[in-house]
Amino acid sequence: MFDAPYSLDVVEPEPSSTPRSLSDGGLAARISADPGRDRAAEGEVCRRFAPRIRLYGLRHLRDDTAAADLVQEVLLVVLDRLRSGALREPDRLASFVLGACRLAVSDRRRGASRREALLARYGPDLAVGEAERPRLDVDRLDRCLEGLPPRERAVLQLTFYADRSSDQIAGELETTPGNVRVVRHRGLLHLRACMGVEEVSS
Amino acid sequence: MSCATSIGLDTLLDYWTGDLTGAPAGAVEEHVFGCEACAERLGEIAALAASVRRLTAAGRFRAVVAPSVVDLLAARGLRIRTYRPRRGESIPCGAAPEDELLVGRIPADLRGVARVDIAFCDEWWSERERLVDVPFDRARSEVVMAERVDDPRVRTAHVVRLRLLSVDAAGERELGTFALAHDPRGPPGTFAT
Repeated sequence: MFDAPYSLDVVEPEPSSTPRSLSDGGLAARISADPGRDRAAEGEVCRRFAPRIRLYGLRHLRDDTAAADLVQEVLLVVLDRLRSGALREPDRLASFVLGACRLAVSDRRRGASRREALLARYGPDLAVGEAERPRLDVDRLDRCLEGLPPRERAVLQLTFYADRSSDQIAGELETTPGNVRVVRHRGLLHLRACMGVEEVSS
Repeated sequence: MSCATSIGLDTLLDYWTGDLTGAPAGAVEEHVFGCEACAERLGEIAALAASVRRLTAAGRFRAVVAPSVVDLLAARGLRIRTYRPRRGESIPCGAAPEDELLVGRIPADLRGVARVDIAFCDEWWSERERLVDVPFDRARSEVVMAERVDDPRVRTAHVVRLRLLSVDAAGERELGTFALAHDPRGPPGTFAT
């Protein structure tokens, strides 16, 4: 109809990156760029790593409360480092978190802790997310456990309730540690299938 | 965030149970910390393990159990009522209100036995159901069975008849027949007849 008096270049606005879509390095950069103010990015660090720290704690400390404490302690260390911009390799944030876990557990075993000092410094200002935990239908698991072949159930109970090693279980059930591992793996697969958990293919 | 090559469930399980130690365990940790998908799968194992522990601690299971699990439950304070049926006989049994688990310690000569099956039978001793390859305690010469007290069957009068069988390549051999007559009123001698 008529020529526009000016050309209009439509430029789509650059979508601002949500913390969840950022790489570990991107998260680290955002936090160190605005220390202590980017709560969304800090929250994402907590969301991303709290479950892994908790698992590390459970694996090494074998105690729910100690694992929960470890989550808090390590996240405080990690956020402190990120805020100060002192993380030398931001892309290796996951390795740094793991290193902090190892150090914290080692400290605990030596009876020392840096946790109090960090808590005093940041206090309630620092929101440390609760580690997300998978929720299980316990009644269903109860039925699944009951439906397992006796030997698989016995191995799982000896492993997870009695905290027996494969060698000890092998001694009790008159088999080999290798066979205990096979039976335990099979039992776990049966439980997962019964619970409707699909195996993730490699 | 997921990974190009996920860690096998068997490796994660070995890591969780402590069968994997040293450098291989460290490598699993490195991977899990950088891989949300594998961390989730390890979380599933942890959740299953914790639930198995809780259910066992509460005595919420039945059938044959490893004897040391029952020993541990008793040591940790679970209230267990134990019956010792005799070969070829029927014994009365029942649960008191305070009981949390019923246990039957079934005696058998297990010398030279490679595999034990339990055949549950009807009143004519015809096999109705079989538990294959149950754990047994050769040193104590017994198979340990548990019955949870919240099982509705514990609250009804019924008889559990079972045949203990030794199974090997040559076939099967009966180790004994046993019967436990459940009385819903409670353990023998605890109620007026």
